[in-house]
Order: sequence, then structure tokens, then C-alpha cells
Amino acid sequence: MKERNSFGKIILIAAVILVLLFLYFPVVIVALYSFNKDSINSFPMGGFTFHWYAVMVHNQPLTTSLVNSVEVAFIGTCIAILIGVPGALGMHKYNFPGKKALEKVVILPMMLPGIITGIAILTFLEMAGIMQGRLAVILGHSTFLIGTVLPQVYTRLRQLDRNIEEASQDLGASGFQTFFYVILPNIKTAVFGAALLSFSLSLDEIPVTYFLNGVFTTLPIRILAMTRNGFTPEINAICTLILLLSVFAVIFSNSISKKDEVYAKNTH
Amino acid sequence: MRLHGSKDFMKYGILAPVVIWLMLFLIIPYFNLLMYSFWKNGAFAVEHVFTLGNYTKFFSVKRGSSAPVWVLIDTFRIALTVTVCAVVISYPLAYFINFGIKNAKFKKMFYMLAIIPLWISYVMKAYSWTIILGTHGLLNSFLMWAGITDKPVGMFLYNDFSVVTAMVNIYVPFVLMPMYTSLEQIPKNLIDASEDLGCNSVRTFFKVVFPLSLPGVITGATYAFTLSMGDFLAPQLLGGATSSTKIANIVQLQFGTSNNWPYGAAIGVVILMLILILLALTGKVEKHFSKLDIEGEKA
Amino acid sequence: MKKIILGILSAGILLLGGCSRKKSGGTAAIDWNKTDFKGEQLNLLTWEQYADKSFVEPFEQKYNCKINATFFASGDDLLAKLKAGGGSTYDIISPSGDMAGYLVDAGMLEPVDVSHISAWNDIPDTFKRSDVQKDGSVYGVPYLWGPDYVMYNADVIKKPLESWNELWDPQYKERLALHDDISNIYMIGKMLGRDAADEQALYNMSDADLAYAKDKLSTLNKSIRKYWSTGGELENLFMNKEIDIAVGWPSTLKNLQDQGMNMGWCVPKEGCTGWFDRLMIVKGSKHIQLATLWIDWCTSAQGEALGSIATTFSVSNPKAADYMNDDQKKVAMVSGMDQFFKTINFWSYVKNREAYNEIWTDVKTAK
Repeated sequence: MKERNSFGKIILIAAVILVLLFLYFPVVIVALYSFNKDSINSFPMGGFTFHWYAVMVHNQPLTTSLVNSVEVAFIGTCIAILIGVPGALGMHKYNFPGKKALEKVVILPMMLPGIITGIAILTFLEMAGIMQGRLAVILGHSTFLIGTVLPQVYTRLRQLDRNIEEASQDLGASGFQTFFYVILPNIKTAVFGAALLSFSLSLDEIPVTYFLNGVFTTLPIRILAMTRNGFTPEINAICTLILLLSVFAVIFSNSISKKDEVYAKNTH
Repeated sequence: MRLHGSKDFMKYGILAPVVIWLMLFLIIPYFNLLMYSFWKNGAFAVEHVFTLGNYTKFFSVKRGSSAPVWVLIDTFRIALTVTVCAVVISYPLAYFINFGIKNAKFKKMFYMLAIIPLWISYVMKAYSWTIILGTHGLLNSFLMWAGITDKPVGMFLYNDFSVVTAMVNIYVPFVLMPMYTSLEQIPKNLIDASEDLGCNSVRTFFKVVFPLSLPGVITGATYAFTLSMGDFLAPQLLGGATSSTKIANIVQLQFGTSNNWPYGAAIGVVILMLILILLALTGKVEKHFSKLDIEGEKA
Repeated sequence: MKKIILGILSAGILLLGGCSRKKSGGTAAIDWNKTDFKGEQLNLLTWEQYADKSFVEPFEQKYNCKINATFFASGDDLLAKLKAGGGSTYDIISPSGDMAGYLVDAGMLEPVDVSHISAWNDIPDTFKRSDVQKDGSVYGVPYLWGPDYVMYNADVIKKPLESWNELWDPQYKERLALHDDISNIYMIGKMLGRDAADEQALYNMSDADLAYAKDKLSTLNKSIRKYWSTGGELENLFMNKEIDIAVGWPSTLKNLQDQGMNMGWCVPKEGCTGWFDRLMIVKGSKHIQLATLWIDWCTSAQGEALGSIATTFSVSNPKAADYMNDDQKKVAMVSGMDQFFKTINFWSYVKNREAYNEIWTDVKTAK
């Protein structure tokens, strides 16, 4: 019996290693080849250079699109927080007809392929007189980012100990005071985590942006165009940079949210 | 009385923004898309006249094997392949992190390793496969260098194989998350109980762990399926002559060069309906399997 | 709650019904002596070859302005982008003949004041095609032109093709690339000899011919590695050795040769189609004067020479030869210009565009 167990364990570990390789190999290759001397990517690598990083920095359409992306991500995340957090609070505190429907609708843009949401918002905005461009992209992004923020904050609110809220109100605090001094500090890491996730989702979003952007280029759209433009090995460089930022963001967001989860669990 | 009034104000006050926003930018657009799909595409602009033409065009089988309905079915096939592969690949990893690692620190590390790919840029992942699978790309160069082949193999890129491979690579993290969560929520004492009762780990897996993890598997599979149904980027980047036009690409074309927004809206509505039906079905199936959870605890 | 939702829904519907697009434009009195535009930005929507630094920078310096170029990959792509952007986004477009007439009919253009195009009288009348002239106004100025021809990696393919039919040769299996555009249907029309009597027949093909074209092109799918949409993509395909042969444009050939590839080209015996690009001003453009000056510069002898040198396309202003050396003139077919012009069947607007597009989509999804 024990032998079967350890055989099974070996298979499992082998499978896990293969899966991790499959997940990371392509990404590692792009990162590695961002230093490739040759502009054609073949094996073995032609030599080591930082050249493409320099080219990337001087690629003006690329840097413009990066600025555009950051702008959209920032504004979109702010809107999502300003609308999603109160929304989560409302759903947590109150019961109302259509609450279940709201729960389902808010995550709809995440469940449906981006193209559907993209063309829906596009046709709507066109009729409303809003042309494709910066505003359309911000509106589109905010809409699905709400679907990131609200559920996360709502989940955290449900994990909170109800007693704290009641205690605060028993002690005479108003609704506002309870929110700012009691609830908010306890959910702030969830809000922050959701904001971070929203920001990075917005930075990488393509399908919805594709139908709304017109001439307003965002970073992933620009990179997509670069894959068709001929001889642009600096693609590898920009992708690697984004990779590093994403990895840091994940590690960072994970380390702060875990602390809060522990606290939430301990107060039950 | 005043207190009651201000409470209502609070309630509507904090819920209003999200309700209004979602109404305006989500609900109305989806209904608007439906309305748009019944309009006519005129020579210079869209005409607001009712017609079923877009739907009859989509469902017509006159165009032989190229009929859009067949493209839809073909995309189904691809999405199904991607889903099955993604589920099969993700499960061992999710299982391993949950049950194969005892040390909390390693567990956390592996968990991070598993979710980082979720945050890696889509374009980077898709584009990387062109580097790997190309005629003079990594795989071919390596095979020739190792002496396994003497000529580059064109068959790795610009066909359904490369499209599916890239999609699986991209969607595995989406499948992995709900699967992991589901496995994580299985109470440890159930497994201990099962082993106490004489089951080895294989039987425990099939009788206890797997059924309890099904809700997560179903959620993950649904994600993979719906997302790959609607993916127009991977086919465009990695597809070849006939593999680069999936159903989502046909929609993309209508809003681009084919310039037929109503027709594109109609196809979009068809896809939307199919996905909503799928979500409803899997929601029901998940509920059924979650009941198992409760029953299991009763036993 | 329900009341609020109903209210919002009806407000939303009212909003949809009532709103209309903002109209932009408006022309102030134009001072044609002005040369300092104080950093104004001129927005181009062009083929990717038409914003080369060599002729953009002199213009930017002369008029103290900035050129911002967006590229399109085909005539249909141009239309889609133009509809999305309009005059507030783009000032200058450079469509080929397949779109030019449509744009005029659709009223999407400003007339060009040819009295301020210095090269207007130098451009031969044969180049001034009627599809861009309406009610006495001129909507497009001839710019550069060229063929859709066969180009190949001369290291792999040793002799030029004699007939378009050779593209179906099994030796090119998965080594061929075609433009992702309905122009491939014109190619089939040419192979059928449909334009022997009437050039325009290619753009007006019968349903039977279109069905034939669809079948014929579908059988070519097994030779196609990928359909290219931009010149850059085609260059990538050649450079990465994914393909050995393609139907494309001279500018791609030039770029590949600049990268050291040994390329050859040929026009098979049935002749070829081609395109004649016109520079046009978008209706509602906010920089009509600067746009007119851009057209003036591009079509001037020096401007066209620079354009041709960068792309190896043929010129519409014969005086451009004064600014080109012998090699450059040879590559752009300057001396045999009239003869070369006659061998090309230039793209025209396809009235039944929806059918052609459908056929093309069917080819790409054929099993």
C-alpha cells in the first residue's frame, strides 16, 4: 500500500512540474529573448544585449500608449472604487428586491467574453453620441472593474464580525462614523487588493478596449499592433517589464491581504 | 420619523450609483445590442428598420461548409478541446498545492506560483507561442540541433494546434483558481475520516475529494469554455489560412472591415444567449453538487 | 426601487433617441501665406508606407507642425476607422481606388482646392481618374501607385511564375501568403480573363463567377500559411522564413532587400491588378489649410521623389524624376511609366461589396 502511495506521489509531482513548466516556459522565453542580440528568435540565442530595452524607451507610440493605459487604469479604478465600495456596503447592510440579480449582473462583464461587452457598449455609446476614444474606453473599463471591486469588498464585508458594527452603533456612532472609523479600516486591505487587481486588469485589457478605442491607443493594443509591424524585438523587452511589474504586484497584494484575512478569521 | 427617512436616503444613496451605472453601461447596452441586431445595414449608414435578415443570414446553410453556423460549431469544438485540456492540466496542480504540501510556507509559495500567470499579459503569452512554434522558432531550432528532425516542421504554427495550445496556456490560470478554492474548502476531517474507515488515498480521492471539488471544476470549466468561445485574438495571432477565423473573429470583422454592425450584433446576441444558457445550466449543476457537500457532512 | 429602475430605463431610452453626433468643422478665412502653424497637429490615416520620416520631417520643420499617423490595412479597414474617427480625428486619408469613389458618394470628404496644389498641372490627365471628381469639385489628388505582384525568396524559388495558376502548385504548400483582402477575388477574375473587354468587370463579377472564385480560392487555402494584413506582417513572415512566396506590394520587397534578403518579383502573363492612391481631406477636418499644404508637398516633384524612394512605388508627378537617381528611377519604373500604367488594372469601387466580403470570409472559413 505504501509503495502505491509513493508511486502515486511521484506521478503527481511529475505532473505538477510539467504543468508549471507549461505555464512558465513561454513567458520565460520571451523574457530571455528580450536580451537576444539577433532580431530573429531562434535557438540558440545569438548573444546578450540590453539594446532592445533602449529601443523600447525611445519608441514614442509605445510610451504614449503606456501613459494612456495608466491614465485609463487609474481613472477606471477610482470610479470602480467610488461606485463599487458603497455598492458592496449597501448589499451587505440591506436586503432589497433584485439583490440577487444585482449580484449576478455586476460580474456579468467578467463572465462573458470581452467582445460581447465591447460591442454592446460600442453600439450603445454610438447611439448616445459618444465616439470611440478615451472617454469610451474609460467608461467601458470602469464598468467591468466594478465587477472586480464590488464582489471582493462584499465578500470581505460578510467575513467581518457583525458585532463590531453593532457595538459601534450601540456606543452612539452614526452610520457615517461607523463606516469611516469601524468598517473601512477592516476592509481597507480588501479595497486595496481589489484596486490593485483592477488596475492590473485594466492595464492588460484588450477585447473591450479594442472596440472602444478608435485612435486612442492603450499599451496592450499597441503591443498587439507591434506584433504585426515587422522587426520589433523590443516587444520582448516591454513584455518582460510588464511581467516583472505583475509579479511584484501579485506578491505585494498577496502579502498584505493575507494579514487581514488572518485577522478576520481570528475575530469570529 | 426623521431617522426612518434618513435611513432610506442612506440605503438608496449608497446603492444608487452602482445601480444607475450598471443600468446605463451594462443592462441598457446589452438590450440595445439586441435591438441593434434587428436593424438593417444600409449603404451608407445603419437603418433603423426592423428586419430578421441578420439572423436568417447567420442561420442559413446555403453557404455550405463556410456558413457562420458551422463556424460557431467549429468554435464550440475548439472551446471544448481547450476546456478539457485546461481542466486536466490544472487539476494536479490545484490538488498538489492543497494536499501534497504540508509546510505552510511552501504552500503559499506554490500558490503564488500558480496565480502569477493570471496576471501576465495576454499578448505576451499568445505572442510567445509564435516564437516557440515558428518555422525557425525555438522548437524547430531545438529539434534540428538535437538531430531529431532535419527540416523545420511547419505543422506547429498557424493552425488549430497552435491556437488551442496558446488558449490552454492562457486559460489554465482561470480554471485553476476556482478549482483550488473548491479543494481548499474540503474539510480535512472528511479525508481523515475516509482514511480511518479504510480507504487508501486513491479511493479517498474518487469517493470524497473529487466529488466535493466538482463545483470548482465546473466553475473553472465554464470560465475556460466561455472565454475561449469569445476569443478573437489568439486565432488572429496564431491561426493560419482557415484557423484564424473563429466565430468571435466574424463578429470582429462586422465591426471592422465588413462594416455590418447589425449583423455583428446578431451574432453577438447568439453567442450571448448560448453563454447565458450555459451559465444557467452549470449554475444548476453546481448547486446539485454543492448539495452533496451538505449530505456528505450529514453522513 | 422598481420605480427608480423604470425611471432610469426610460431616461436611458430617451437619451438614445434624442442624441446626435456632434458636428465639427467650420472654415475660417485662409491666409495662404502662413508658414508657421505653431505646433498644430495634422492627423493622417494612411497606408503604413505613407508616413516615412524622409518626407514627414521636412514638412514638420517647414511649417512648424506635427504629423500624427494612423495606419490602415485595407480599404475596408480605412472605412471602419474613418467612420469611427471622422473629421475630428483625421485630416488626411490616402485611399486606393477601391474606396475612393465610395467616399466621394458618401459625402465623407472635403473638396481639395487644386489651385493651391502646385503639381496639379504636372500630373498627367490619365492619372486624374473621374471617380474622385464630382460636380466640378476635385476630392482626391493622385499620389503614388503600384501593382499587386508576386514576390518570392529567390534563394528558394529559382524562376519567376508565368501564370497565376502556378500559385496552386503543390510545391508552395504552406509557403504562400496572400493579402487578407477581397483583392484576391479580382485576381481570380483576371485569371478568367473577365477584364479583357471591360476593365471594370473585375469589380462587378457575376454571382456565378463569385462562386467560382470562392471555390478556387478555397482550394488555395492549403498552400496558404497565413493571410497577411499589414506590410510589416508580410515582412515578418518572410524574415522568419514562414513563407517563400506571396502576393504583395513593392514596398515590402524593398524592405526585405534592405534587410539582406534575396528577393525576386514577377507579374504573371495574365497581368495584375494594382492600386492608385489619392490624397484626400476628410469632411469636418479642423486643419484644412495644413492638409492642403501636405497634399501640395507630397505631390510636388521633390515630395513624390522622396515618397517613391522610400517605397519604390510609382509616381504620378513625372517631374519627380528630377530628384531621383537612375537606380531609384528604374525600380519605380519611371521611364516606362505610361506602359507600366497600362498593364495594371487599378482597383475600383465594388458596388456589391457585401457579396465580395462574404465570399472572402467564406474562403477563410472553408473546410
